[in-house]
Amino acid sequence: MEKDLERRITILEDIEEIKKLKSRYGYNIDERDWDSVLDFYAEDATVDFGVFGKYEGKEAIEKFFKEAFPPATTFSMHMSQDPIIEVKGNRAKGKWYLHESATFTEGNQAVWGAVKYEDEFVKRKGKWRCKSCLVNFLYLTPYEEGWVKKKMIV
Amino acid sequence: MDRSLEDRIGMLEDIEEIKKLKAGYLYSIDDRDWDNVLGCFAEDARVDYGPWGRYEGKKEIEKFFKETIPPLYSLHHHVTHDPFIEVDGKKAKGRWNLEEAATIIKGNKAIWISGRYDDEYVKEKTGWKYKSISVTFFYVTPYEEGWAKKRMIEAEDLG
Repeated sequence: MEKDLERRITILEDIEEIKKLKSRYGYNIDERDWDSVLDFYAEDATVDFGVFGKYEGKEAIEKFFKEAFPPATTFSMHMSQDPIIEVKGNRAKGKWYLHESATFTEGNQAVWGAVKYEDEFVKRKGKWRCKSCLVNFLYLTPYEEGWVKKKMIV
Repeated sequence: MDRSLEDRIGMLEDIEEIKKLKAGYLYSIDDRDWDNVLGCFAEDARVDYGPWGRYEGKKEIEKFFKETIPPLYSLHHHVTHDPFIEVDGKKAKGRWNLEEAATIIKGNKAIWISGRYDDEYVKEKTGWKYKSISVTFFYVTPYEEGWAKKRMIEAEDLG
């Protein structure tokens, strides 16, 4: 009985940890705290950011966040919603919607973005980190136009 | 002591399951997986979708999703915020804020929707299901205009 309760509490705690991890990730991107952003990822993580490229390993992901992202964007607000998280021992899968408002440096262009995340997580030494992050854009549209007139700005 | 812990854990699990029910329902609508959408409802569920109508029982709800929605819309993207969930045994209530991006096929028109869900849930053998959904809309506005210029699009323009 006690062991079963323990197992159930741990799953609930793990779900909360993963939700917090994802929230902090978006918050840290918007604050441009790149070292904290990278803390989201495992060393052997892989990412697929759709039109923004695929990167393997933390070094390549670091390069993207520190070198590619900052010159291209002057403002971003990442808001994640509707998490569905399944935990199995030290592994987990998480699905979120992301809603984003951002400004691209080129043309000082405001954009609305909507994304579906499908992530995998791994718990090592008691800490959850993202093993893989898959981004699917529903739209990334200039503010003045909207997803009907221009679904993808890039 | 154990029984009390059991009850407390059970409630937290129920809340998480209801959040997953809501998220799964919306992903399934947006992916047009109508069978999955229907799987979220109790047999005697009833829904009030405001300007989109009221439906009672799973059969009517099925007809709405499979026959009414697809010819009207080419895109919908529902996101929810700020869940407020209260569980009482095998019943529960939930309130959420909703934001939605959608495209009406007629006129290829982008619209923003904002509203509030007031839900009732029932715990069945296969898990939590919707007993009722009621949506109050704050705005259904053309993308180019916004809620200050046009808060509610005309009914005939909904599609």
